[in-house]
Amino acid sequence: MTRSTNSKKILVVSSRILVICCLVFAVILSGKFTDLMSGPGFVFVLLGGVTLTLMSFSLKEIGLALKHTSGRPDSAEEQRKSGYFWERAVRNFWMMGVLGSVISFVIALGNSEGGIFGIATRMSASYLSAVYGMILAVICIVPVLKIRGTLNSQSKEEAQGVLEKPENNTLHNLKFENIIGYVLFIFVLGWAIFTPLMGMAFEGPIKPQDLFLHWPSLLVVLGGTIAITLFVGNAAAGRSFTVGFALTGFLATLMGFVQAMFGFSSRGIQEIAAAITFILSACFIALLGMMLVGNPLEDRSVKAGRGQKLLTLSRIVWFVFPLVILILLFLTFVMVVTPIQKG
Amino acid sequence: MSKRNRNTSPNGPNNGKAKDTHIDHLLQQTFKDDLPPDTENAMKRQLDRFRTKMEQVETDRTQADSKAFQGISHLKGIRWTHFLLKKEVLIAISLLMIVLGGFIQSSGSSNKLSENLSVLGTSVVVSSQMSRSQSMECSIQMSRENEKPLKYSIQWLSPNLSKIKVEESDNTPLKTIWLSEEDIVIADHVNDTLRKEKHLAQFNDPVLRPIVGYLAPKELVERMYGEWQLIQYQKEECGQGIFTVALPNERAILEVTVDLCTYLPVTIKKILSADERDEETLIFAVRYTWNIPLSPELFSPQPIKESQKA
Repeated sequence: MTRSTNSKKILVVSSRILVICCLVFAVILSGKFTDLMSGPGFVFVLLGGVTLTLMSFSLKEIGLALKHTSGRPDSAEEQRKSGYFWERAVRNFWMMGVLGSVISFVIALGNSEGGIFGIATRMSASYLSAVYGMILAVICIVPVLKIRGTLNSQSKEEAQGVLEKPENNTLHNLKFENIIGYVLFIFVLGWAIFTPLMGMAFEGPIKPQDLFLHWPSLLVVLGGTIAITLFVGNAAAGRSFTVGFALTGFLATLMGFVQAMFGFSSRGIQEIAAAITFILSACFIALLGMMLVGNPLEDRSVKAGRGQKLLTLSRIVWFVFPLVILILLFLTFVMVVTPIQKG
Repeated sequence: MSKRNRNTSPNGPNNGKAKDTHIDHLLQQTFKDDLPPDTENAMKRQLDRFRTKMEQVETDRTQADSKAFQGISHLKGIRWTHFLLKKEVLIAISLLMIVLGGFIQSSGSSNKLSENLSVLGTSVVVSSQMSRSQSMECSIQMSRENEKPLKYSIQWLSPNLSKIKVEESDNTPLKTIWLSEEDIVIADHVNDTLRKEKHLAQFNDPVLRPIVGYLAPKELVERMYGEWQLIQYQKEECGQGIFTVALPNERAILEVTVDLCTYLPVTIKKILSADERDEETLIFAVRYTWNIPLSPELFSPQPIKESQKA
């Protein structure tokens, strides 16, 4: 590739980015979408998604994937790795958006400022994080499709050979940037949870564990995940953790819904409140477990050439479980603001 | 080696057998057992020494292992760790965790979030019930500094229609106010006047100011929706629940007692929060009697209007 072709490509990419930035600024300045804007929510999803990616990939892999996005030609193996990276970025932003929604939803319920109206408004606004997550995921899906298209245009035999060729047969060791990723992720999570809780309540700051940690759901989700991992085996591959957290989270939310329905039939507000707490806490713990334990382990094991054929199940879990959580949040919102008819 | 050759020989098993015999013969010829006795003895000695050394190393390693285990076996935790890391035990623990979690949840465990949800749910039901209620009577007794206490009798005829009677503690009528969506009619019994106001905000009467917000169900519901900061909910034994709310920019809190059959408020107490030095002070208490059928004649400012004309 000549130097002039390179600079032309850079110019095209820069002009595209500039046009998108202009459009975004125009939308912001118009003030017509102020209800759809939440700076902290966007920062949380963006930083969280980046740190999650840093937990699974090395800086070299990230750099290579970025270069491939700008159209740099490379071997099919390298292109495949980049496609894999961008697919994980889609997953990370999507899951981060849903986690942000769960956190904002719980914080909205913990802060009673502005009465019922204030709480309901904040609960509605908590969905913005999921919207941002979805937008960033859609942006990241473009390179995935582009790389897949390039790989498909190559001969079928070559592509097959590339897909089945493992990088090596040992698990990648945890790299320094991965550890930095973990630390930064915990920092971003702490910032999102602690900052809104500082001094907002009438009787002083609320402890985050009072809102997010509900022992029954923690026991059910952790117990269920450990059991599934032990039955399935191969914990180091991470898939059993990912599937375990998702399945037990789903099971726990179903248990919570059964309790909530009993509460509705017996018209017991406290029972419904306990059930909703159980649901929210189970969703939070399961999602966090997937993101902190399951996904990074699985990414590293797939990069080492293990379990690529079983990725379909993981993909279903990555994208369907957060969607189920969003639906559950909506149902919870309806349950909270719907009065039980009395008398 | 010979077995493999036999099985894999392309010329059949008999041919393979013959080949094996030939190789054995060749090996016997090449490596004859005809070493001189001195050399053989020396080799034997070397081999014995090597074997003894190997055995010594093995014995040393076993002893070291057992010593190390003896050294740490006094820590009971190690044995326990071995026991706990068994797969069966881990599965049992995880199943126990699930059962324990389910048990704690069904036994009514709560945390700050569930308390908040309880108070929110209760206030949503209360405001919904109040919006649906057609009539109500409530009374407020309020003490004043250096003056006789005031007594307010409020009758809610519909969500937007109220009649308020203000009297002194000895039943001397001071004012009667009719509150509707369109206007406010005020009858001053002391000065014997009747006047109209358009909005409650313009009606800045010091007698009524403390109880603004409790004059009509609609107002109460609006305050509940938009202003009251929900703090706490407690379920009482006698079919009543109390939820506490904070008022914005005020030191006072409200204690709303709710009848858990109808989810309508029974009393609302306005209390000045306790300071380090002071005790809690009751500012006023609103007592409600709900759904008592009231005559529409009660909402009739007509006779006073006629007296004013006269």
